[in-house]
Amino acid sequence: MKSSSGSGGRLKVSPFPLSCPTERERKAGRMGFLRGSFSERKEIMGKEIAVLGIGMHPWGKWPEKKFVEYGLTAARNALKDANLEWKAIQYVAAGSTIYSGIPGLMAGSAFCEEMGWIGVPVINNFNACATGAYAMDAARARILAGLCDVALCIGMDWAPKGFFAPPGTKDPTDLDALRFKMGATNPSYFAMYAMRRMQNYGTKEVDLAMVKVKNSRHGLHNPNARFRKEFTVEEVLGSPMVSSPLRLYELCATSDGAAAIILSSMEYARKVTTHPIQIAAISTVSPRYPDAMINIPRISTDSTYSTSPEMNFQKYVPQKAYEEAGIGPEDLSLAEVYDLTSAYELDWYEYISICKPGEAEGLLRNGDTTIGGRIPVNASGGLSSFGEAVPAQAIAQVCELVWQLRGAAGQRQVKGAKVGLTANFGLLGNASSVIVKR
Amino acid sequence: MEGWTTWEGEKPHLVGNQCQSCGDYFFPKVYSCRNPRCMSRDLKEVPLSREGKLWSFTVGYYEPPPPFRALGTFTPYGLAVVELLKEKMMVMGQVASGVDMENLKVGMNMEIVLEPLQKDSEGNEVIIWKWRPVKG
Repeated sequence: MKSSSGSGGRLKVSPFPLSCPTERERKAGRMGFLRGSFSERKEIMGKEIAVLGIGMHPWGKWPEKKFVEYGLTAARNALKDANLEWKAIQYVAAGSTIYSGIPGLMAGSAFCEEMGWIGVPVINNFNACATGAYAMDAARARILAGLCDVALCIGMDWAPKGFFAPPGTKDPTDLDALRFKMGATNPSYFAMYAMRRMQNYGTKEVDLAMVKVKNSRHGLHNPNARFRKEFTVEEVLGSPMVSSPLRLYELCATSDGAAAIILSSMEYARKVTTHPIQIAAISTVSPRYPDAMINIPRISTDSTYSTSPEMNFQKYVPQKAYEEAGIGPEDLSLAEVYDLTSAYELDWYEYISICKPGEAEGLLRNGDTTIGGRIPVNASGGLSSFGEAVPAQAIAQVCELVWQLRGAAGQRQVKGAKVGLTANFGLLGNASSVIVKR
Repeated sequence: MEGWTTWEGEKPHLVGNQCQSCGDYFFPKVYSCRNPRCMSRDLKEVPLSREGKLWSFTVGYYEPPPPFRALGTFTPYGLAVVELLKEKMMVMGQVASGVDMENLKVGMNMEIVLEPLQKDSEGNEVIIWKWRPVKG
């Protein structure tokens, strides 16, 4: 397929056109100097890479440990899974962790020093919750460019207990600090989305509790999950209100953990396995102005005075993954979505287009998103069973899809899983969606 | 919050800026128009609408971590996101003191008031905008 830039004619008609003239341009009957269009991403369909190995350190909370300890376990598990030696790795892409000082900012370097230097390039990136996906995207670019055959991507996190707080700033106009001064913790934002959802679609408190109940049943069988306990609706609804309408058991905890994945070119993978699991898409797009959603850490939205937003950012991210993979929501066997809260999981059913807006509760109540249902969501147990280890989470989501596609997920296996999608969302315009197929 | 709010007569307003080319509004104020289709540097400081519609709200029952500091003993607090209809944007703020949070409803009319948020490191009160339902 051909791609087109903003200045040329459009060869491909997208169902979600990226061009959108401003009000002023419409009135003037002409396009602006940018021709009112964002340049389209280069089409990369057909550029799959392979997953050779995956490994995790279980999620939990160990105040006395360091993030590299988790990393060593995850990486060694991934190398063993891939049947590769550490020195066979040609590139390391690692997510940074923000509560462990300078070694945390250069987590990949600290990790390689701990493993024993092997003389390969190491990048460290931080893109909030999408950090792990950005690391995989960097490794994919290297592999597809022919600059390496095998890369290791890793995310490791050690975080303090309780509400996430800003790690410190010297900028008095830092909006992230200001929102905390106002008491706008992360759950506050999610609570306002949940309240809005209840208002728009008549979502009941019991629906929110049912999401937790479902995910707790899934996570019960996951050896890497932190919370392995089956919850009842009564227990969830009996837990303390944190940010109305969200209760304690409907919110994601902050966890420690690590996840690693070894990626390679398809050519390299075919030498070592007959049916490699493939990464068909890694979407790491950022928002397009105007972003009309009150996303963390913002205290206001963009104005939509001149331009109407075409699609919100949460929907845009998986949409680009579908386009990249040439796969649609109807092809999915399962999905891992970002259930930072139980209400947010329902929003994600709609953002990844497995149902229409307002239909998520129906899907949940029918058991469609439970293992054994039409499209199981969060078969791993989700963030609800894991808690969030920020730079590791996007990789952990992909690990789950790989186990499922290999048929190696044990009691939480989704039968005949062929295609899976992750959706992941973090602050300041960082989000990701990865499609894995076999 | 010097420069973020202003008084017009008896009434407080938020201060934002408006692009003189595409018309988009910004709060807090920005250096140049953020509309990629415009990118003008011709921005004018303007008071924003002091009333809007309640988009959503929440009541926080747990004390947030620093830099949050309660004025006195911590009590549950409200946060509200309000749509400014003229500017076509939303602004978050705390719910003003004395508002019965049980009576908040999505879609109701809200207005800006100025109230203390917290004390700074030198013990001075930081004054910020908050939202309360329009009376009557």
